[in-house]
Amino acid sequence: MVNKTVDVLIIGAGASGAAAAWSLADTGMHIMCMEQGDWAKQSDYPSNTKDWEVRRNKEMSASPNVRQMKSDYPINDQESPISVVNYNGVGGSTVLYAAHFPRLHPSDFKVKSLDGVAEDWPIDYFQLEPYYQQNDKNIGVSGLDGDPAYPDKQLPLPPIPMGKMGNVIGEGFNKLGWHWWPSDAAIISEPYEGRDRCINLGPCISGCSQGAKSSADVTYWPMAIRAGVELKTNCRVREITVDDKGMATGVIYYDAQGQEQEQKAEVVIVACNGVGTPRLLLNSKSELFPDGLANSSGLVGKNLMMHPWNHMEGFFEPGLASHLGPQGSCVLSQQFYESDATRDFDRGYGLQVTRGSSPIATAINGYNRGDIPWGDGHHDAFKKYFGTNIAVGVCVEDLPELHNCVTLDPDITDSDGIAAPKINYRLSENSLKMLAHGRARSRELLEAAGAKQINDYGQLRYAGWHLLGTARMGRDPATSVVNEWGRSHDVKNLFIVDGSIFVTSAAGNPTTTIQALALYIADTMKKNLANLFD
Amino acid sequence: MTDEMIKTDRVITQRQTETLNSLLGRIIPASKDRSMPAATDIGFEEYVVNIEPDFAAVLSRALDYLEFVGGSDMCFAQLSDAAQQTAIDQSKQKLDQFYSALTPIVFACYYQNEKVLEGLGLESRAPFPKGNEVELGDLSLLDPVRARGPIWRQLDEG
Repeated sequence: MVNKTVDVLIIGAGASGAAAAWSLADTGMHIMCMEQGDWAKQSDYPSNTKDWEVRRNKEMSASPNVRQMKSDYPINDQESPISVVNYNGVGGSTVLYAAHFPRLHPSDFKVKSLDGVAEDWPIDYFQLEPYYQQNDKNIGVSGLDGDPAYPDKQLPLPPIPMGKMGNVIGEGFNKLGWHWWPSDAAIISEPYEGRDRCINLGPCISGCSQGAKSSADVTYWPMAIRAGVELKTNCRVREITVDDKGMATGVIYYDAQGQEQEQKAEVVIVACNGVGTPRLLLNSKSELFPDGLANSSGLVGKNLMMHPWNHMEGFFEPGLASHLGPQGSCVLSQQFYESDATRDFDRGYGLQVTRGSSPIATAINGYNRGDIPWGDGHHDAFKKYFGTNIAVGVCVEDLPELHNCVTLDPDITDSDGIAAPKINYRLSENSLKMLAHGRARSRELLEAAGAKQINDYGQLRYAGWHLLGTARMGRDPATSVVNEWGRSHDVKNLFIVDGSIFVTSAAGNPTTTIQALALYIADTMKKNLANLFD
Repeated sequence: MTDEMIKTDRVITQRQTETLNSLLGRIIPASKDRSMPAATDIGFEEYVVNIEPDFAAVLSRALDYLEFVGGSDMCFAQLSDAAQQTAIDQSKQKLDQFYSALTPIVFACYYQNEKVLEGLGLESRAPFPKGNEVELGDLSLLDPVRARGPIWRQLDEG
């Protein structure tokens, strides 16, 4: 069945699709968004029930391969030391993300010019700055103004609390003379635009029952729907169709009942993240595009970047109550972020200080380490380790490499029979050197802060939140998939707005940049409506 | 005592229950001041039925094996402390995966139990809607960071 042609069809209702939908809504065009998942209900999130610690590792696991919701698609990550984590539903992975919201730095857009590695972006920080600001205002971002790691920026809300652990780790940073700052967070520290403030539930990464986390389902989507955008849930797009002139004509999708449908559109915008987007493009093969849509460069799916992550924690004297507070955001150090010619690696990394462990996690992790035993010593050991830990994550800039890629798995499919993505990824020598440097600095920091015990867990497997670079932007069609405003070089009415268009990964959580890019692209589309396909 | 199922919602026999309780008491005994209950007193069997049903059959088989390794006419629960420990040690090669699975399930059940959380001085409740108080922290600690000035790389540095 063919539905009525819409002006703009957005595929994916996550961070970028939502932002683009909101921005385009004021054109008055018929804008439709298709999302393979459904709305998540705040009342269903684990933190509504006493057994939240157990539930968050099951039905709200960040791994689609564990969670296995109807809306999830399997991801073959056997050939990768990092597993993909995500969420498929309205709001996308912002439903489960930690909401840590650091911007890129001006230097991140010029890595080739400044450091001779990878490629420069075709845009710069200052072009994107107004869109960062617009996005902060639209969704509600908290943070402390005056961070010397950035050009001046003002956030709409004051910072979320650091807690006692922030004081302890801050003293440690100060002893070493290193930069640190309360994390910018897409969590509202005060009531904002009809939503109530964060009440420190803790497990942000299993959904925010309070609605204080500024996920796209509670921020952009209510605004976009009020402005007339049509959001169709439980619709899984199989492929983007094209005409004999090489223009996109719409999509073929499966509706909630699993019935094949067709939706025609004048413009198609892909917003499916750095794995979902190449998967869709590679699945959209045709006579004109035998290697997948928009893939004349051969770069669709290539250059996957995921931010390798080292996890270390220190244990301190009792009384920190470090298990309380928004889990993923406390303090960020950018002391080692910018390039330094005296180091043996290119580019840099961030040190992300995050909260301690909840009771069950404390017991299980302590047992696995050999610190919390069976038997008589159990209770004393538990009390020693509960609420006393501070975690330090090393988030390294992952430079693009062709062999790190997303392809179509020849054997595995989702529940609609669509080929699943396969990840081939390995850590570069540069990343390994950076991780080693960051591990040494993490230990130094925890020692300076007075840790009584330090545990280094090494590089984390389930760290694949940031899926970047698999359809990168650039001016040269031979070396990029989309142009400097997100339009496919090959298909003039096809745009990509998600993290796959990143040229480099920088060294921090990408969602603020993903949303700023989506707003920038949508704005550029609006400015060029008269000659959008020229 | 028989090996018949006592109730329909039970996943193990009475004798297995006694073995399980002995094992649970060895994993987490009550604290000496009795402020913290033992893992025998937290409704573990019911927890397995409701939350970890796939583990029930594994649990049943493992308890039988532990009984077998005990090697006595007495049931495991009646063995001396030392004999129980010996049986557990002897079973570890065969039951390694079982113990690896059992421990986190016991801990998960234990550390959401009302008496346990109250014993730790925590409220036994869902995080929402009451939430938690967290202090802002001392932002004056950032003064030295501010004093050092901008650290972002100016693009004209080249």
